[in-house]
This record gives sequence, C-alpha cells and structure tokens, in this order.
Amino acid sequence: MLKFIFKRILIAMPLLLGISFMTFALMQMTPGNFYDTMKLNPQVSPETIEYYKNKFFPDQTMAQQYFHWVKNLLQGEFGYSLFYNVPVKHLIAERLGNTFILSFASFLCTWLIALPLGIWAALHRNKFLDRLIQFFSYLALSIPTFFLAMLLLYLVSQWRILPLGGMHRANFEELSFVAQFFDFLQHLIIPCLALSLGSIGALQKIMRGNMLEVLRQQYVLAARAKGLPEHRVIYVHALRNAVNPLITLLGYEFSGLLSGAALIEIISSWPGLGTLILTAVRSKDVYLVMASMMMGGILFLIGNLLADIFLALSDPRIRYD
Amino acid sequence: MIKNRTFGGDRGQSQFQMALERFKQNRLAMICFYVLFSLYLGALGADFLAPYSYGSEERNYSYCPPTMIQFFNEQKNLSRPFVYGRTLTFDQYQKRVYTTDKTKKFPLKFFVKGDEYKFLGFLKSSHHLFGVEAPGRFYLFGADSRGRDIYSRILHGARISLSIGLIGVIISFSIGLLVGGIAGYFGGWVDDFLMRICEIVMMVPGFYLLLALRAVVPDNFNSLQVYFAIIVILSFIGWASLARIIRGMCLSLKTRDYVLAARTLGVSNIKIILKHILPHTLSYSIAAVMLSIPGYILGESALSLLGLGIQDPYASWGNMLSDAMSIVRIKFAPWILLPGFFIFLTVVCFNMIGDALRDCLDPLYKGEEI
Amino acid sequence: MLLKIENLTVKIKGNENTLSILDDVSLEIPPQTIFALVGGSGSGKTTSGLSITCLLSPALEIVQGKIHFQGEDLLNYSPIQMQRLRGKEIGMIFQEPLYAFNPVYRIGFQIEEVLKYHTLLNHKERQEKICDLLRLVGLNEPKRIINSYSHQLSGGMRQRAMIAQAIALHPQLLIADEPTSNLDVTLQAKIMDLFLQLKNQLKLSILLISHDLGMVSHLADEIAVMMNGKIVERGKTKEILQNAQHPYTRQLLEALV
Repeated sequence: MLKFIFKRILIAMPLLLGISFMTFALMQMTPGNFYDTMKLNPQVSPETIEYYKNKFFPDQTMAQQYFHWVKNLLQGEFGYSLFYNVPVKHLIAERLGNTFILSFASFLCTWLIALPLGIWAALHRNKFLDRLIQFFSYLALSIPTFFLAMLLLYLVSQWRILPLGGMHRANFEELSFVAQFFDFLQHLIIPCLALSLGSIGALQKIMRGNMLEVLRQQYVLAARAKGLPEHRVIYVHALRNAVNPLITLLGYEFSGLLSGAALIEIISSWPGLGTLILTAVRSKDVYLVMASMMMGGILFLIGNLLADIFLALSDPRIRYD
Repeated sequence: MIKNRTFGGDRGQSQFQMALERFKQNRLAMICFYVLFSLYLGALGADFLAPYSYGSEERNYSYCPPTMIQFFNEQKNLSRPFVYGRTLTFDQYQKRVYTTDKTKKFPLKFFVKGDEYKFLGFLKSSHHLFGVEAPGRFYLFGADSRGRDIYSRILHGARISLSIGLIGVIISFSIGLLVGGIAGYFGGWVDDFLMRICEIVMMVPGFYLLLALRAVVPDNFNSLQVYFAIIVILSFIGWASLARIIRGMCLSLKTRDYVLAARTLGVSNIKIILKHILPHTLSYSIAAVMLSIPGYILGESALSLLGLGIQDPYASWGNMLSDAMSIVRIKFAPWILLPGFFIFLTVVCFNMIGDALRDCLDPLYKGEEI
Repeated sequence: MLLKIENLTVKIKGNENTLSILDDVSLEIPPQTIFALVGGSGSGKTTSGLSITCLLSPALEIVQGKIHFQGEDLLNYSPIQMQRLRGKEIGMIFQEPLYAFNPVYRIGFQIEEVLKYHTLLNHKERQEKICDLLRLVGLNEPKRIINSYSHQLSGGMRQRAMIAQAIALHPQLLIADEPTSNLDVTLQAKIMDLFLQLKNQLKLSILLISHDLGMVSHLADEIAVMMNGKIVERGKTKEILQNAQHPYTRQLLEALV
C-alpha cells in the first residue's frame, strides 16, 4: 500500500514541475516590469525591493530565473503583493483555509445528499418521484453556478432569513464561541448551496446509473440466490460496486470544486483564494496571480492523490495489480 | 425497427443517418434544437429584431421596470396595443419610483423607424421589427442603469455569448483532434508526452487558469482584440479534455484491420490519421463537443461578469449580469437577472442535445433488459 | 418427488400477445437424481431454473402453474419464506464464476455470509466449515482461497469455490446453470466428476442446465429437451440417447457425432 502511495507521489512530481513551468512562462509573458512598478510605490521600501531582487534575480537569463523561481517555491517564498503590500505567502495562507472550508463543506453536502438520493432513485426507478428528481437534477446541473448564487441572494434578500454575503458579522469578535459557530454556518449556507446543487444533480444521476448497472450484474443475482436478505444484497453487495467508479471522480470533483468555488466566493463576498486571485488579476499583481495558480494546481494534485488512495482501498483489483 | 432497406438498389442508411432518425424522434431534444436555432437567428438579426441598439441610453429611465403593453384603452375598448409614458420621481428614501403617465400614449408599431444600423455590415437601415416612436420608450424586459433596453441588449449580447462558444469550440476541437489523433495513433513516448501536457493543462482548476491567462493580455487591447483574446484563452483551456477523449478512441481504432491494410499499402501516417481514423471518432466527438460548448459560454460569462471580458458599451450576457452583483440592485430591479435565464436556457438546450446525440450515436443503445 | 413443476407459463409483463418465455412446462425431479435440462439459447432453460427460486427479472411474470418442492407450492411462498429457502434447501451456481462472486469481497467472506444468515454457528465454527467445504470440492489450500479475491483464482478454482458456496448448507437441490460452459474441456470433465461425487456423498439432486447434450449425457439420470419455451422430449438418459422421438433432439444427437 505504501509502495502504491509512493509511486503515485513520484508520478506527480513531473506534473508539479510542469505547472511551475507553465506558471513561470505566463509570468514572463505578462507585460510590464514588476520591479519598476514596485519602485513607484512609496509604501515599498528600497530594502524590500532589494530583498526580492535577491530572491528572484530579474536581471538574469530566463533559465536562471526559472531555477530561482522553483527554489523559492520549495522554500515557500512566493514573492510580494503590490496591492496588499505584504508577502504573498501570508495572503495565501489566510485565504487558502477559507476556500478549503467552503470546498470541503460543499463536497460533504454533495456526497451526503446525492448518494442516498441516487440509491433511492435507482430502487424506485421510473416512479413519479424518481422522474421528478431526475427533472430537477437536470435543471440543477445545467444552471450556471454564479447565476444560481445570484438567484439565491435575491430570494434571501426578499425573505431576510440569512445574511447576504461575507463570512462574519460585523461584531463577530464579540460573540461567544457558539454564536460565532452559528454565525459562520449562516454565512456558509448560500455559497455552499449554490456550489452544491449542480454537483448534487450530476452525482445523483451517475449514482443512479451505476446502481442500476450493478443491480443487473450476476453477483447480485447470486447473492439473492444464496438466500441473503434484500437489504444486505443492496447495501453490502450492490452498493460497494456502484460507488467504486465514483471514487475516481473524487479527484476531478475537487478540482472542479476549487474552480467553481472561486466564482461563488466572489459573488457572495466569501474571503477565499478566488476573491484573492480576482483582485490580483485586476491589479496586475503578478506574483499573487501565479502563486494562486500554483496553489490551485497543488490542491488538485493532492485531491487526485487522495482519490487514488481511496480507490485503492476500496477496490482490491487496483491494489493487487 | 428495420426501416425500408433495400439491398443492392438503394444505398441504405448509414450509421449516421440512423442516428439522426433516432434523434428526430426525441421530442425534447428537437425542442431544444429549435430553441437554440431561434436564439442564434435572433442573434443574427438582432439589429432588426430589437427595438433599440445596444448602446442606446436614456438616463431618465434608469432601472425602469418592464413596460406593460396595454390592449384596452380608457373606455375599456379593444384598441391597438400601446404603452403609457413614464415619469421618474424619487420617494422619501431616494428610491426610484416610476409613475405611469396615462396622458401620453405611444402606440406599438411594426417596422418602426429607430436607431440606425448596418445590416450585414453594409446595408444601412433604421427599421426595426417593432417598437414605439420617440419620445416613448418601450422596455420589454425593463431597463438597466443607463436606461438601455435589456431586451435589445440580450439580443445583441447573444451575438457575442453564442459566437464565442461556437468559435472557441471549433478551435479547441481542431487542436484536440490533431493532438489526440497523433497521440492515439503513434502511441509510445509521443502519446505519453502529449498526454502529460494535457494533464498539466487540465490540472490547474479552470477558473484560476482563466484568470491567470487573462492577466497576460495587455491592457491596451481594444474590444475586438479582447474578444479574440478571450476565445484563444478559452480554447487553450478546453482542448486538453477533448484531446484525451479522441486519443482514447484512436488507441482502440488503430488496431482495426482496415488501418493495418492501409499501412501495408504504404499510405502515409498523416493520411491514415486524417482519412481513416479521425472520421470514425466524429460521431462520439460531436456529442462531446455539444456537451462542452456550455463550458465556453459560461467561461466568457464569468470573465465578463467580473469585468475582465467584454466591456461596455458592448453587450454580452455576462457583462449584463455584472450589474446584478449588487444585492441592492437585484432587490429593486430583479429584471437585470434576465440575461442569466438566457444563459441557463442555452446551457440546458446544449446539454439536452448533447445527451440525446450521445444516446443516439451509441450503436449498442439498449432499451429495457429482460 | 423432490421437485415437481406443473404447467408453468411465464410471459413478459404487460404484453398479452407475445410468445411466452415458458409455455406449459412440466417436469419432475426425484431425490438424488441428476436431471439435465438441455436446449439452445432462448429455449427457456435458464428461466425455468430461475423461476424455481423466484429470481425472475421483474419484467417477467408467472401467468400460471405450480412449483411443488417437497410437497409445498413455492408460488405461494412469501418473500421471507423464499429467502429462507434459497441457499438452505435450494442452492444455485452460475455460468461465469468471475461475475458470480462479488469482486470487492474475499471468497471466504462471501461463503461465510451464507452460513451467517442461515445457521447459528459462531465465527470459528463457520471458518472450519468453510475449510471442510472447500476440501470437499477438491480445493486443497482452503486458507489461501478464503483470503483471495475472485480475480486471483483460476477459472476451475472459482467454479469449485462457487459450488462449495452453493452446497454449504447441504441443500436438497442444486440448480447448476451452464456451470461449465466457460471452462476448458479437461476442467469440464473434472467438474462433472465433482457433481457425481456430490450427488453420492451429500445425497442431493442436481438440475443441470446446459446447451451441451453430449456433456450431460455422461452424467445425467434423466434428460429434458427444451425448444422455444416448451419441453419437447423427456425421459431417462439411455432412452433419449438410443431412441429420440423429437426431430430437435435428433438434431442435437447428430451434432454429437
């Protein structure tokens, strides 16, 4: 098992290198000289500029610059943000957590709702409620997530039951821990919902399809022929096999989540990586943009690795190959 | 069901034609097809079909609600449809209030003279399908912050939003076909190398890549250049997944007998790829393409929404929604959300058609099993 | 009489006018007998086997008939009664053992399930019983088999493991649906020997469903031939081989030579 993980990490290395190269290339293509702009900013001291010049060596050749860039990445040095006037790594650390929370909450929501829904739909196939669920799923997975977020915000603005964006209330610091927790949940609902509904629709369809496929298999018939109770046939024998293909989706879900989360964050003013990269792009804050992109890539790789591990754990055919 | 097939005489039906027949029988998919067709027609003829041009402002009518068409005049008799005038006042909270002015009546006319435009780029005209004469304003879907007619802007915006999808996907598809075909056919290290590149591109979450690429575009691009830059960016993100699909199909196709026959006959590799293998991937590719068009439309909408795409005064469904980012505005002028419904409608239609195509083109399509 | 099927007719649900899958099928299986049901694809033989334990696809329905097992009409059984019957009184093995075992669980786990749900033995006793069963069917490394997954075993071993699973509770009747069609010839012969051994040792009856008249003729005590959902010929093996009446049976016999 450990060998399997190690092998996977090894494969990921060149990919990581590839992203860093792509990021670096894009950075070089961005017009404008970063250090000249820094000089113009009176808030940035000459010492800071020197410090970064000594880290990134903008005067050397491309190849040498790339080498320094990778070296700095490995040390966690991502450069300086013009807009926020702090080193990039501080910003990333702060926002990364928030994006992760939103993505993770949405992931939980999606899977905890879509899987049971899909199973139920498969078992009650073609009944009225099943058709209804399929219809709404189709709508849910087609609606643009940002539009859904806007609609939800509109509905909430009419009914006034939830806060309209942001992550904390104004007086957050003064609240008790429990109140803080609930306030946090309240703010989380709309972005989480907007992010999840589409995925719930899509995942539910896939789960239902897989379940129907598996229920046709011979081992389900054999399990019944053995005299096992129906609930064991479905929830022990059929379910495990139906869920396996979904686990491969996990990795891609994660990447998609990060992507989708970014836009939703911006619309609901959730302070995460998405809002960060938007501000960065708008203000041409080069190092910040590239660091965000690298982060995105790394998170995706981690998600994929986790998905591979889960798949290997659940499907013995992969493990012993 | 075997339709009238004669052997020897008629050519019979090709797989593709049979699939088309099945598609036509799917009512829902056909409805979606007609809806999309109308949308694209609307985009083409936007100049004529819309009462106003996209830039026609009227600040006195900022955020004016949709105009009601009146069919009955004061005497409660049926009369020619008309609209009342509106006047803008501000209430005690400085909120906009539009009161209907019943003294001013503007009849709804067809082939009305309005803003000038150039049909097909060179035919000058100023006739519009319907509208009211100045100084009346007819807002079918309400007005935005500068008093521009949202309905007209939706039609003009369709041009950009729908075309970016098509052009972008054509470019991606061509690149994807070529790369996927080469990777799948040659296999070995060529395949490995190309697939690594695909994976790297697909690895960075789409939205971040989109924004990062946008940051590279110089500031001084004019609108047309930005338009093309967006298409290029979207294509760059999209080709990788198509290439992977094509490559998978090519891998299995290259072992077929007719490919081996072509090779023994000495046909060059490029010709084999182009003439023998790629045409067979078309049926599945078309479904994949249909299902990926929504991604491009949404990508452009997202960029424009954030102010990084198509800029004012040009209309795109995305940049019209940027108004809707403020909750206050949504609350008091919900009609600014309408472009979003059009995006939704388009996406739903493409998804339905893509799904239907995929089901129809699958020769092993099964119904109920016993 | 162990099993008596009377006038069984099975049709596709909701379709009154189509041909029946099974048309007025009747047969009798005495205890400790190997009974072969032979026919081509679509003849209805698999459906006959499945209908005994009420495992038909939901798209089919039994229109008429009776299925007597040890004196009771199985068609009157409730689902719970049927579930208790399966595995315990009637065992079943299938054509492709790779897919008849769940690929994600170990063999031992799956065989143990049968014992868990039908007996009161504890874990240790169950493990011992599984080892005994596996040795009985000719598998000499029961511990290894118990810990293996279905894809790790060879075809012959899988089939034997499946037989072990089916006879775990010493059922009276074993329904074998094309048990050797996917195996090579030497393995076929060995499995046939195993069936004979089981019939004598465990005193059970086997309903052997196959398309291969030649293979079953060595083994079966009685044969029934099916075509298009009907039984066209039935009798003791010797009589069928020497004196076939129906033209279809004759065709099958000729194909043997």
